[in-house]
Amino acid sequence: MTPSKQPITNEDASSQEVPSQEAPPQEEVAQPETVLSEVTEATEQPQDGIIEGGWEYVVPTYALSWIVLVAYSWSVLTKFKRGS
Amino acid sequence: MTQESSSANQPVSKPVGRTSLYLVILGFVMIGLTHAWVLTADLKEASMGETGRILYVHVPTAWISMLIYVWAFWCACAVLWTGKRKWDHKQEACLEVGLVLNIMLLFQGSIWAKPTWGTYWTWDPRLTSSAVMAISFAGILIMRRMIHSPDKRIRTSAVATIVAFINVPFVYFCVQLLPSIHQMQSSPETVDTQMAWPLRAAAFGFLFLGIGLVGLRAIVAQRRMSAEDKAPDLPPEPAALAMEDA
Repeated sequence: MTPSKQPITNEDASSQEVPSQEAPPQEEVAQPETVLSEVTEATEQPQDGIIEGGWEYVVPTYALSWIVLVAYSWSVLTKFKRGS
Repeated sequence: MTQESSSANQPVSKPVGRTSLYLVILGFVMIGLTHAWVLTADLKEASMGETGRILYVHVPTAWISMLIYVWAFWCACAVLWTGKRKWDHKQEACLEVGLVLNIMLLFQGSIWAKPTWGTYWTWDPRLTSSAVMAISFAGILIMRRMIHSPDKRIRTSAVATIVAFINVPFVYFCVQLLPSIHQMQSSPETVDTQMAWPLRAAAFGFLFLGIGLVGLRAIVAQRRMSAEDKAPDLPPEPAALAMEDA
């Protein structure tokens, strides 16, 4: 990567005169975007951070909670009734 | 402690059992109606989408689990202070009900973490301390099964409960004290008014259910202690006591 290969816009034509050391390296700019896209793919979220849908997580959470509550309550009630 | 042995042989108060039973029924009705409401109403959270509905089961579970652990801590202090066995029965009941809610809490949070954080588990301070809380109180319940002498069991588990309880305030406040991926504590003041009422209703449902279950479980613990006093050579396992009843 050399500074002479970087794109030059019409608005910033004077940048040709800027010393090559001041131009940011292209790889450093691109790196955070690459990491962000990898994280986004891993979390299955769109770019704006809003989760679409989610019933496939809501239903198991409620089902599991109800199963545990009913099963434990039934267990306690059975022990209570057995002794009364 | 020995002068209280007779209290274990006293007949179980029927009104207490009946009230506890009604509280369990009331709790289930309130939780059922609230969950039907939050699963059918238009309560889609702005950024979390439908997964935001997990809030109405996860947060009340956390609140009541920790509240019951506070109750267990209070009972443990009362056992050591007064030496009365009735506090040990309540402490045992609180430990068991609190642990059930605590384990439920970990599973709920794990499922919720997948769509929001991209992983089922991470070693975050809140998650780790919640797991430590469950393991420590489960350890006390296991320890109670292993100590056959009632007096020694009562004192040891009371001290262990007080020690284990040190972690409970840390679980609650760690999201403020340490860098954490977990959000700050939720309360009706920190959520939208549309979400506050179902959250309150679910919390009261869990509260009634928790109190009712602790009441019933304490009566079971009292009966078990009474059976132990009648047959002190028997180990305190329920299987052995059931065989004795038969």
